[in-house]
This record gives sequence, C-alpha cells and structure tokens, in this order.
Amino acid sequence: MSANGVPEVLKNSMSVESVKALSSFKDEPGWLTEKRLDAWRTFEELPMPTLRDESWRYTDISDISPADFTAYAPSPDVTSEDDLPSAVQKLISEGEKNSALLVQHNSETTFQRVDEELARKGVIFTDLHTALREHEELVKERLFGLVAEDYDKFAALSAALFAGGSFLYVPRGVEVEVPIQSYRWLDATGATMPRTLVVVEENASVTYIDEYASSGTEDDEPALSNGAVELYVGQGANLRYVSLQNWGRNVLHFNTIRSETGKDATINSLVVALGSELSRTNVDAGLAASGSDSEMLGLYFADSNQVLDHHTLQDHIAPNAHSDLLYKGALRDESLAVFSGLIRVEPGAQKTDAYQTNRNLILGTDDAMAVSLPRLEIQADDVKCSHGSTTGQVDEVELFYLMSRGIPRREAEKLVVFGFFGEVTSRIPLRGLKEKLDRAIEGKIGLGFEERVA
Amino acid sequence: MLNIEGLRIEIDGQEIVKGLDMEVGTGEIHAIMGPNGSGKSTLSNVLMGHPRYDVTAGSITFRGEDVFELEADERAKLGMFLAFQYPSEVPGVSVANFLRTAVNSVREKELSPMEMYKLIQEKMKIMQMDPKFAERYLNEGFSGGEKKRNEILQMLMLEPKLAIMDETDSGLDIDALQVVAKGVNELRGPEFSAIVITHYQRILRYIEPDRVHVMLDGRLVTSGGKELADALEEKGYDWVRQEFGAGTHS
Repeated sequence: MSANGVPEVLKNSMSVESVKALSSFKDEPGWLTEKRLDAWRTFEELPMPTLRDESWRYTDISDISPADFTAYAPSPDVTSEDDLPSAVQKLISEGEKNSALLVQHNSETTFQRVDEELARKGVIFTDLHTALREHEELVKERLFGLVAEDYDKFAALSAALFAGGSFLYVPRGVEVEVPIQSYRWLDATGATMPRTLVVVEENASVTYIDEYASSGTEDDEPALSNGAVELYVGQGANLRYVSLQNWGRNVLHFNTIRSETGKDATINSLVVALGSELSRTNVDAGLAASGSDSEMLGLYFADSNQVLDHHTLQDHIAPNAHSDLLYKGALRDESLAVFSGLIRVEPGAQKTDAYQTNRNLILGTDDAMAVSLPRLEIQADDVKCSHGSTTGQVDEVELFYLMSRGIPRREAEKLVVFGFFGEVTSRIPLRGLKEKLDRAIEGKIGLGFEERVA
Repeated sequence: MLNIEGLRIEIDGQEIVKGLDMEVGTGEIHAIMGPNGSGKSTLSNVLMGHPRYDVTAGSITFRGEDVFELEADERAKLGMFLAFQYPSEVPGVSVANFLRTAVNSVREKELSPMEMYKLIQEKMKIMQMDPKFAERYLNEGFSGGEKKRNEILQMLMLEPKLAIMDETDSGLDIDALQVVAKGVNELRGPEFSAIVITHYQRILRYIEPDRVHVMLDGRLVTSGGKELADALEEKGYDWVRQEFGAGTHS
C-alpha cells in the first residue's frame, strides 16, 4: 500500500499502457486484465458527451478531458488510525459511529478496520484489490454486473482504471447494527477512481456510508473523481446506502450508483452533493423482483458557480414493487442544479407504486438556475405513479412572518432552509450523519447570503 | 406608546391609507373598525414592517423610536406584535422550534430548554391547545381557528408591549373567540396596549376597548368610546358612509 514501486507509467496521463501497468501492479487475475482492456477500448470508442446528448443537455463538460488526468495518485503510508491526515481523523470523529472503517487516500486504501464481532459473523469489508485476492469468486460474480463498462463513457473509464474501492459482503441473515463507513480522501491532482461493491445476502441488513471529501480549493489544480457503485440487495434483505459528496472545489466528480433489489428487499438510498466544482451522479434503482422497495432521497446545495447534476431512474421491472423518490436542493449565487428523473414501468410490472418529487429552493439570487425534468414512461396499465417538481425563491412574506417574532433575517432564512431540507433529513435515522448535514447546510447558508437576499 | 402622523401607504401604485393620525397610550386598548377594503390590514402590516407596501408620507413612532428605521425583528424586540390575519405556513419548522427561536431572539438572556418547555406548556394550556400541537409544522395544515390560537399563543410567549390584532376574530366560532379573548386579557395591564382591528363588534364584548375608531377609505373618520361600537352594530357601515364618507371624496 505504499507509493514505492508504483510503475512510472501510472504517473502519466491515461493510456492503454496505464491500464496494463495498473493491472499488473495489482497482480490481478487474467480475466480482470482482459476486462480492463476491453473497458479501455470502450472508453476510447465512446465520444465525450456534449450538450446535444439528451442526458447531458444542461451540464457542459466540453472542456473536460478525463484521460488527461494522471491515472493513479499514490498515497502516504499509514500504520494506524493516528497516522491518517488530521482532516480525515476529524471526519471520522464527527461522523456516524461505525463498526467497520475504510479510508482510501487518493488511489490507495490506507487504512481499514472491521470489528471482530462482524468478522466472526462472516462480514467482509475490505478494498477491492484485497477482495479480488481473497474472495475472487464472490467479487467476480458481481463486479461490473450493475455498472457495466458500456453504461457510459465514465463507467467505461471506471472499469478500465479503478483503484482502491471497497467490497462489502454481508452473509445471509446477518444484521449489522452499527453503520459501516468508508472515506475517500484526495490531496493529489490526478484521478481517484474508487468502486464500491456491496452484496447483502438474503434477510441480512446493513447501513453503509460512502463519504468523499477533500480540502482543495478552486485555486488548486483540478482533480478527477470517477466512481461506480454496485449494490446487490438479496431477498428480504435491507440496505441503507449513503453517498456523501463533499469534495473540495477543484474536483470534478462523476459517479454512477446502481442497485438491484430481490424479492421483498428494501433499499434506502441517500445521495448528498455539497462539494466539487462539477458533480454528475446517476442513481438507478432496479426493482427486479416483486415486493421490492426503493426509497431514494437526495439532498444538494449549490453555491458560487457549482454545477450539481443528478439523473435518477426508478426501473420497475417486476410487479408489486414500490419506489419513492424525494430530491431536494438549494441554490445560491450563480450555481446550476440539474435533476432529471425517470420512472420506467416495464411491461408486466403491474401493481407498481412509484413516486417522484424534486424541489428546489433558490436563495436570494436571479443568477442561479434549477433544471427539473421529471419523466414517466409507463408500459403497464395497472399502476400508481406520480411525479412532481417545484422551484421557488425563499418567500419574502414567510421571512417577514418569522422576523415579526423577533427572529433576525439570517436566522429566519436558516429556519426556512432547514425546514425545506427537513422533509429529507427527518427521514434519515442516523443522528451523526444528520448533524453533519445540518452543519454543512449551515455553512453553505453562511456569509454573503444576507446581502444577496436584502 | 404609539404615535402615527399623516400616514399614507401605497401598494402597487394605488393609495390605500390616505393620511392617518392615531395615538395609543400605554395600557390602552384601541379598536379600529371598518368595512372590507378600508385599509385596516394595510395599516397593521405597515406597522409591523411588511415588505410589500410603500409608505409615501407620514411617520410612526413606537416607544420613542422611528419604526421606519427598524426591521421587523427589531420592532418585535422593541415590543411590537402583530397577530396576522393570514399567517404564513412554514413547512419543516415545528411550532416548538419556532417559539424557541423567537423567544430567545427577543429575550436578553436565553431560556434553558426546560424553562422553555414549561413556558410553552403553560401558555398552550391557557389557549386550550393539545401539547402535541407544538410538534406540528408552523401553520401547515392548520384550520383557521388553529392558526388564530397559534397567533395568540405566540403573543403570550413574547409578552409584547403593543399587540396589533388583525381581524383575529374573523372566521372564529364563539368558543374559539372566547379562548382568543382570554389570551389577550391574560396580558392586559397598565403596561400592555393593543389595537384590535375588526369588521364586527362581536370581539369587543370580550376585549373591552378604551377607544374605538372607524376607518373608511384609508382614513379614521370618527373616534369615540366603546358606545361607538354599539352604534355601528346597530346602524351598520352604511350609516358611517352617509355620515362621514361623502365629504371625504373629492
């Protein structure tokens, strides 16, 4: 896990040579090397998305060239939790209590710990490279199964050059009470490409939190984060998955999170976007078996010239499944938020129950823009589906009402914004996480807002 | 306590209040009666500092301060309170959280959570409100009566020096009206003044005014003791229009 021995070619921009070097550096099995090379070809073949592509109509990435980033960013050696960067230690101490922990620093996993009790129950939680060595069959069966290299250009890049990442396996019937947490920390200017693979077997349950953070500012050299998250939830199982993106302002973040729920399985996802310069996250829930249930929550807060883009899919393949999506975002300054959500009910998915709501709150500016595109595509006739979207300013009359009770303008605005997000945060049963989000929201409301609203 | 001189108010370029003078002394209860559209609500909103009205002339001093120099929260801290005719709904903010924030904003020293809890419970009891009410989101899904009780609850919590009640009685049944009046009378004393704005004389049976003013077409056209309210009840606003209205039009 050290920077030593990193092949020279990985210190350059991306190429087929870096794919070969990475796979050999990680001593990977032949099938994976082949897979990576295939994926690299797919990446090269696929054109960069432009504003002419339906799913990239509002998010301009024409000046981004992912392959120009260094393929691999090494990390310092760590032998104990105390050696981690102090900022990471702070994140850990402020976060949810955890029963297993993994820290990925740049392209490498530098620290991991699993409570003995979990290990005894057969829970596996480790970086993907270790998992490939120690549990190859478990990983091989499912890696790339949900986020395949042909999903899009960024998924292809992830398959070709992922490094670090995490693998969580919860065996049948095991209920993990205390959340499992991974942190991705970045202080290099290259690329970080973690992949998350979660397998929750029949009737098992677990909460898993993926947190992305760094301290870079907009004045730093740009860095690339390109992730893929595959979530398999077995029959009757329950997964609560949180993706918390709070990168520094020099990071470009691309991530695709896809889940598949078995019969009577439940997934509760929460996708938070606060940081980065530009963030594009695809969240797809595949309801592949009857009785499965997907709750999809989203929270984003864009400021300055941030672009935060979410594309969601509630894919009802099987009958009698339920999905409920609520994405709420606040915008200020000159930011752009894009939400595009599709409920797709496939033929035969009768008795589908699907809801989708997106709400945006614009804080005291005419320069921010929220694009909200809810869509339905229904090919079954006995279904209950609804969608809705609203975008509005903070209501001056509402503020006046609060202020008339002695509450200063700033506090009144805070109440309105917290109230707005409360509809999402009140549905998260994780106290530490909720407090973290509250602090982040408060920070975002912060300085400068008062003048803009007045 | 409150002194209004030559007040003129416009909304969207249309003059609503057309030169109004009024003085409310410490400990006095004034009633302003008038038909719909006479400018009563405009006056009360402007007193509190509503952002959508333009004051084109005149002055308002409250406890010696020029209120136009003060934001709504500063007016509240100085002891002014408006019971709104149509209070805003604030989703996601509980009544308890709102009351806590408001009370701690106007007080010099913050209350401890326990003191706050006790105070809310005590005042809710006066207003005959279910304790569960405190956990509901502010005015969201409240019935008309619940909104009005909630306004008076806020008044009891904040203990203002001057309460302006904008048609708090409208839409209330007699039981609710009595509860609201009880809340107001709870604060009544030598240090508490109020302006009760109403269309009807009914509420004045429970909150007895020291002075009654009649408002018509943006002006106070006549003032008197509480017997003026009785005369209005008996003769109606047409009588006022005939008596005071004609000459005021140009």
